Amino acid sequence: MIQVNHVVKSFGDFCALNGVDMNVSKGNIYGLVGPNGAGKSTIIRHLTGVYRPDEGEILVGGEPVYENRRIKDQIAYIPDELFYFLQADTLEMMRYYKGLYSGFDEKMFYRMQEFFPNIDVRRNIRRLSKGMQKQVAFWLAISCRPQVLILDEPVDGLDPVMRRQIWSILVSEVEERQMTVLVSSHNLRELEDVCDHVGIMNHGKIVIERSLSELQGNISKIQAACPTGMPKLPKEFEVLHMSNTGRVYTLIVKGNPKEAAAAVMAGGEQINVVDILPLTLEEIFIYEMGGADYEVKEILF
Amino acid sequence: MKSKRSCFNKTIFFKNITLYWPLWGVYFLYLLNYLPFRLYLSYRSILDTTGELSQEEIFHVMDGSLNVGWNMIIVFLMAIVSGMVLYNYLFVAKSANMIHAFPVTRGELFGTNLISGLAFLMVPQVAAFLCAVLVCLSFHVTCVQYLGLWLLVMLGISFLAYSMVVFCVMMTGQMLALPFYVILMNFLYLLLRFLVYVVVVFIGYGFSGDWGQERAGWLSPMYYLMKRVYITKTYTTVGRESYCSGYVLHGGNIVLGYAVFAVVLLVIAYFCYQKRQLEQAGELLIFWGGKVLFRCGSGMVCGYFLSMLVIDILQSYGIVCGNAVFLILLLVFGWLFYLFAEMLLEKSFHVFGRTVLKRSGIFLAALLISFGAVYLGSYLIERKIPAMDEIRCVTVEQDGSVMLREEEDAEKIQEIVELHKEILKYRKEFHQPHTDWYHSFSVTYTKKDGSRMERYYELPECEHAKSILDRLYQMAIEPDSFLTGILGKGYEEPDYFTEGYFYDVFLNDIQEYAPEELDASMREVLLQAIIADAKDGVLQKYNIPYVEGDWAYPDGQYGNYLELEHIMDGDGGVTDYWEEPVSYYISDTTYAMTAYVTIYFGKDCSHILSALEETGLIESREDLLLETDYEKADIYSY
Repeated sequence: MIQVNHVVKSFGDFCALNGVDMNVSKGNIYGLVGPNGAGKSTIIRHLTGVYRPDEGEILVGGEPVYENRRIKDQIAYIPDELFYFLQADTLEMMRYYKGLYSGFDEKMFYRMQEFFPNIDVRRNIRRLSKGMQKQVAFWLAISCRPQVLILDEPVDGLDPVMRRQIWSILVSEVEERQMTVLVSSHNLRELEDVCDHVGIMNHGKIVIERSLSELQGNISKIQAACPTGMPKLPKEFEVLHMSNTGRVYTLIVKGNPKEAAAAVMAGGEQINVVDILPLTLEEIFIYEMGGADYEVKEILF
Repeated sequence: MKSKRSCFNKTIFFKNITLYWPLWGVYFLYLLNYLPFRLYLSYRSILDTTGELSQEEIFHVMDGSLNVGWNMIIVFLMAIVSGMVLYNYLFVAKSANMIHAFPVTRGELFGTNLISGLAFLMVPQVAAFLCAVLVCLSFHVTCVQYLGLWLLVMLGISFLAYSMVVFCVMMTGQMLALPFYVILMNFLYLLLRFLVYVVVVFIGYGFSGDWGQERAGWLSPMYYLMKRVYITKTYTTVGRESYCSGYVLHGGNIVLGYAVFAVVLLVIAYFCYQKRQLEQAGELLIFWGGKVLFRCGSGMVCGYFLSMLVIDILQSYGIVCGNAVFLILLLVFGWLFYLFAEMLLEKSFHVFGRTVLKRSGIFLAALLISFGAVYLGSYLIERKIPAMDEIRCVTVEQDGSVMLREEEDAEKIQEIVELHKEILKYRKEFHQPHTDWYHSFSVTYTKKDGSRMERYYELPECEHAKSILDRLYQMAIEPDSFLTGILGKGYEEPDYFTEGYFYDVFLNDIQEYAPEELDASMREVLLQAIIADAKDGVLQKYNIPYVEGDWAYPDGQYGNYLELEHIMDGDGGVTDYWEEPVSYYISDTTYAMTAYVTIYFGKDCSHILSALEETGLIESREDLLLETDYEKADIYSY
């Protein structure tokens, strides 16, 4: 549904996107993660047709998105910094969205009002709290019945109940209509619950793009009790991180977890306990970024 | 689904109209007050007072509703504010991102906001006009076509004003910079012209304040429109009575020309919008070429302007400055303002990097070259004297008064040209910075093709200057030259002077001059006396006295004087003014020009004194007071 081919974008001397390639299939929820300044918001602005790439192409549904009204009509976007017109209330914004999006479902908008009971639709949106403004943005975006929903930090500022509500509506829309969702967030624990694909960005590039299960299956945390010192692993296993507490060593290893555990066991006679523990998305992100000189290596341990 | 080529989006348009209604609402209220309310109240008041509306009163009331100048300023202000609010989404990153993520093209956004802005300006104008027509018709005033003329001019100006604003919007990402750019676009040419004039006058020798006709004045649209576009009354004469018969629009073709110019601006603006990088929201200028122009332009304009200002201040304190001081000041101020412009563009005080220093070097070299070009150009221009076969007329003026005017005598023209060449020969000696006394006069050549060349010279106290001034004076006091110069070339024609006054002193409580009107016979008698005294060579010194040295009244000059008026031929345009060697006055409605000739006389002007007695303007010469007596009496003049 979304295809990004070698997109390059520079702002003066600064190269914000350095050959981004990305592929999001229809009906997927794609989590875009990466450190600050990696280029996530920039690629999102390209995907929504705001920026024009210096090089490369961005296709949505097989067509370029830039200045393509027909394609943009199928894309709803919730930016990290929300914008509403001066003095506009929710109903006015609804009429505006309705005028612009051919697929806007007014009935659905009113049906969904029950999910957002605290929002006074006649109150100036700029006077609502940040979280409420976010709710209005989500409400309007989902009422557009888009084929593609692009969210930049969507639940930032929302209370836990509303977060769950938003994710729940989103997942049901995906299941019901095969809507494609691309979501950029730093809240990796939440992404882990909803995303089926993940792209990790760093230095203006997508460094890893896989399904979540694939990603989790290819990296593991192995704990081994080894009285003779650090366990050794063959070269085909890349050790991303290693730490120890007494005799207990913890290794973050790239590769098949079972094979890696077997290799640890085979590495020494006195190794007696080996545990394979699953990694969270947050841990995967940190270790992957750690490999790319990201400076939060020791956050978890 | 709408057409791909659509340039209008009704949702955005509706949002603009509803969101910004106070803006067009206030403008509409202003126009309602300006047109229909004003007309209604005025006509009502006349009807209540006199019971009927005469044609003269109808036009008199309408006069106040056909003003172009003031309304033009309002239109430009409205256009700026409309541009600021309608395109404000381009000036803030979050709104620029959000709006462009919606399913609208840039063409739609551009077109819709353009139409919205024009609607903000034009719909209130049309609505107010229609209301005014209804008011007029309700009073049985049918000459509403003149209000239509006003409306057409306003619509044209509104189109130009808003197009200029939209063009400037596309050049900047900073909302507060927009008014500045619009003003700059309107007055840049005048600013540069003034600057070049000031610099050339300082560097060169002989340059006067007059640069001839403004051929490129249209580059300052607002100024040009205010000067050239107006609606005036037309008069019909029946017998000896003239009455207003309607209005005529001047400069309609100028408005039309500017409308075409506005279309060009919009096309450029549209393409700029297509190329606009939205990430540049908040930047002062968003195109690379514009940034270079801004940096160098600021450096040069401020450099030249401040250098001249400082030199002017120094000279007012008696400190003489030459070209070297000017050049040093120019380089210093130019560089400082180049860096200041860089700081504005980068929004940072830390601009002293290697790149900026390198660019500064190039800028300073360009500044030096510009100074060299101005220096060389002024040197070449100051040496230029028209060829004899090009000259139709030469006028020499001193302190605004005509000293000498030659039009038909080729030998005398040749003599003036030779004197001019002599001044240029001693240029180095004469063109010294000075603070002490100097003689000054101007020479104006009117060429056969209608163009003019004027030079203004300041001659210091020295032998060469004295010789030139003496020769000029001798030429000026020759009776024929003197009379033509002061009275105009047609002074011998019958009924040349249409009015005249004798300014006698009237020592009443407020001690003021009291003019006595001269009838035709008095004018004729006095004119002959003036000619006779001029031929006797006694009148000249009272009317061209300053050439002889420091300012002082010649001995025996009376404070009383004569004033004669004549109407200039032609359409009363600028050419006539420049060809006539007299002060001028433009009457308020017809633009016919009246020339005023002032004749001073003294004790030895026997013919004039006798004529004053003969016509009964004075009973005896004792009635006259000397100029020195006037000064002692501290009499006010008006």
